[in-house]
Amino acid sequence: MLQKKVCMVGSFATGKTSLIARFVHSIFSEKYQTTVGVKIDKKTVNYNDKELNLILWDLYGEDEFQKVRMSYLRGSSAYLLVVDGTRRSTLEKAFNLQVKVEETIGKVPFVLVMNKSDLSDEWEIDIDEINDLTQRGWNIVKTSAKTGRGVEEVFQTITKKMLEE
Amino acid sequence: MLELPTPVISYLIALLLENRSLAYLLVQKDGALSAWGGKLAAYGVGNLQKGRNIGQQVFFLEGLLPLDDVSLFLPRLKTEEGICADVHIFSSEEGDWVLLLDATVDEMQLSLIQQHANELSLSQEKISRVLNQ
Repeated sequence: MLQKKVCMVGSFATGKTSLIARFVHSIFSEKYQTTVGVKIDKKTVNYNDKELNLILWDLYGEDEFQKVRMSYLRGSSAYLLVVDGTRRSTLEKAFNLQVKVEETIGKVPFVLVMNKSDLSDEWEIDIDEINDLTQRGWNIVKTSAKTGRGVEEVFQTITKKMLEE
Repeated sequence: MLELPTPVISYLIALLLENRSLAYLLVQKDGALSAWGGKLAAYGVGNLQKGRNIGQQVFFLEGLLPLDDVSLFLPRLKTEEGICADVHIFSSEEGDWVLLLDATVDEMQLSLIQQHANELSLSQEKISRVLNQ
């Protein structure tokens, strides 16, 4: 079966692990549990009546002390840049990571995932900024790992982009 | 290269085998698995078939092979089925070698520190937000 590696990158505590838990296992936990190293999951998806295995690499979140190890990204067909909408700094971190990832693995499809949409009252990123990025050709999906909103859409979008490249 | 007496090397190898659940895979440049051994079951790896593509058998290796000349180190890699592993990949004339070493202790220690540090950072961010309002 066709398989594609997809990496989740972003600042710490943006919800990368929770998005995968929601997508792969249909579960969510309120408790924040940091990722050490990388956790790898697999899920079979359908696209245009074809089956595809997504190999999902959930990389530890970058912080000021620990940079993401770029060797984890080797062989990735796509990546998801995950942002916590309630923390503006995580969007800035995502911009930096996007440049680093592209330098490492070249231009491959990616989606900017604006997570924690269930906390929209607390968001620090305004709609104009998101619209600007959309106009620049970025694919952006708002998600909530807690409610499940947008989660399937993210993985469908990235699958479509990988297969149509 | 550092010259070490044979008993020292033997002791170190025994220590590695006992404490870090050494396992290995040998993969041809076309992706076909050619040999394997060690404690692969600890990492959730089993039912291997010689000659079959490695990515189809060990899903976490999808996209990583074949290796260029430079060796690869992937620390603290974990799947649902197995324990946390340090993965070392290097090339030789026979093909690409994949070594797996138990990293559970390392993961547990780092996890405690990282969890504490991240929770502290989140609290500081929250306080800064409140003060800036």
